[in-house]
Amino acid sequence: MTRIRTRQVTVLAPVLAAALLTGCGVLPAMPGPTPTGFVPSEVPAPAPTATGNLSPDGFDAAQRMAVRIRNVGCGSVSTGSGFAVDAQTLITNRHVVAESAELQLSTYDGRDLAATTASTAELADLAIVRTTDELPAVPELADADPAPGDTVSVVGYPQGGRLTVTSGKVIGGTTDPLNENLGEVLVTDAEVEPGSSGSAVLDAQGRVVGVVYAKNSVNQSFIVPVSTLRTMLADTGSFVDAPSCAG
Amino acid sequence: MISGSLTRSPPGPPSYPAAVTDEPTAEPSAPPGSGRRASALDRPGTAATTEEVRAPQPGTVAHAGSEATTVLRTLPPAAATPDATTGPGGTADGDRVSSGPPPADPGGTADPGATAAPPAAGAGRRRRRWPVVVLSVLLVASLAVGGYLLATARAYAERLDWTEQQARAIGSDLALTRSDLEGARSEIEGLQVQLTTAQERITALADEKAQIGDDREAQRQLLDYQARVSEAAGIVASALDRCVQGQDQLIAYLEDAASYDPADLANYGSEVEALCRSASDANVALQSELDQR
Repeated sequence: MTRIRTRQVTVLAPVLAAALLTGCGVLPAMPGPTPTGFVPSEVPAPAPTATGNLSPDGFDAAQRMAVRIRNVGCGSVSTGSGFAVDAQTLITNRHVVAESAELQLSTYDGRDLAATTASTAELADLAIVRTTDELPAVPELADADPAPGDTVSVVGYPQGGRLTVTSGKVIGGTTDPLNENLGEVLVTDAEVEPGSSGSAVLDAQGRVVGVVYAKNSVNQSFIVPVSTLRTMLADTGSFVDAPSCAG
Repeated sequence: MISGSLTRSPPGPPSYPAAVTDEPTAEPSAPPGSGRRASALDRPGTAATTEEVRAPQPGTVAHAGSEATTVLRTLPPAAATPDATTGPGGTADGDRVSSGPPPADPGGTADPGATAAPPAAGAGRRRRRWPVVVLSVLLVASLAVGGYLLATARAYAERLDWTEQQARAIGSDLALTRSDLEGARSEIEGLQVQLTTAQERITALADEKAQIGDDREAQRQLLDYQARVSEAAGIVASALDRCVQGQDQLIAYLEDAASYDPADLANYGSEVEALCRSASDANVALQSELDQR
């Protein structure tokens, strides 16, 4: 009998110990150390819900890169548009700077820029104007021409008036009706006016995809595609000094 | 029918079964043939507690199953030892005598030394200790758990109070922050309106400046044109005047032609004609300037 009891005790003791341990496991733990606070010291930076006009003065990049060009000729004054391609270089049309005695440039906010030289391309209605002052903003050139159906925006000074942004879609490509450009040009339904020549054509990402140079009677606009612009910019010999009416 | 004989010892002091609880459980062997059992207290001078058991003699009759045949002394049963072999009237096994507390024996025949009880009593006591030990352990464990739970509850209560204070403070801060946020949003909306107005005004002013510049250049060119036209007109007028004066003088010379050398008159007429031709050229230039507008 003693052996039996000993066996029972031998069996019961571990069982009792296990029960105690299990019971301790069920017991709630003491609360941890008191936290110093519930406000985290670092929080993730909130993502902006809208880009807005993130520029020093609230104007977007498309407006800041636009330049108004006044061609003071020999007995005439005409206006056109242009846009910056680097800090001191802007692109416009050849016919905007043609027969000029003086080129006068102004920015979106009315500041005057001094132009030094003008160069024109012989194989496209494009021209380069160098400035002594720094241009407000420089856009990015797109890698490829826009496809038919793509939405584009035109930023310029139609009729030499206020800075205007118009939108439209690319209709397709065609040969140059004015025979001023080598290769194919693009047709869009974006509304342009005289004075819009040299305006930048931007895609949805704000990249330059072309340069306005003409319009037709049904208010379709013709643009020099960015591929042609890139080709011309890559070939330094494609631009020559623009002739002046002043001799 | 009791077949055995009982040798009583002189009456002595009463013995207690408990007196043997501390004795070793080993049972000393009795001398052969003596049939005597002795407890550990069976020492010289303690014979009063001894008890002799005689072996059954040949020829005696004993009823099997009769308790009285072998029980020389019946001890009271051990408490809490429900062992049938040690119960009241423990059965005899040969010359072994069952243990157990003696029954009420007014004759004072109790002989603890003859019970052979120490091993069973020690085991019984040990068996009795286990519940106590278990209950004691459970009690201590329960008290410990209760204390722990009480401490835990108090700690959580304190934490709850602290957390509630923190929550109220954070709630107040949140309400204040929301109010500030609403104010900031309203201010931003106002600033956006002001910014839009300022942008439109800047654009308008830039356009006005550009238009003024265009007008200035146009006026300057017009001024230049008018100056050129005026200059051309002056040249035309001067040439015409000289032409007219020359023609008048030529007419006067021709009215008195006999008085002048015909060759000189012809030369003068050619000069007048040149003056008038230059006046005509100046007029063409003037008309050309005028045609530019």
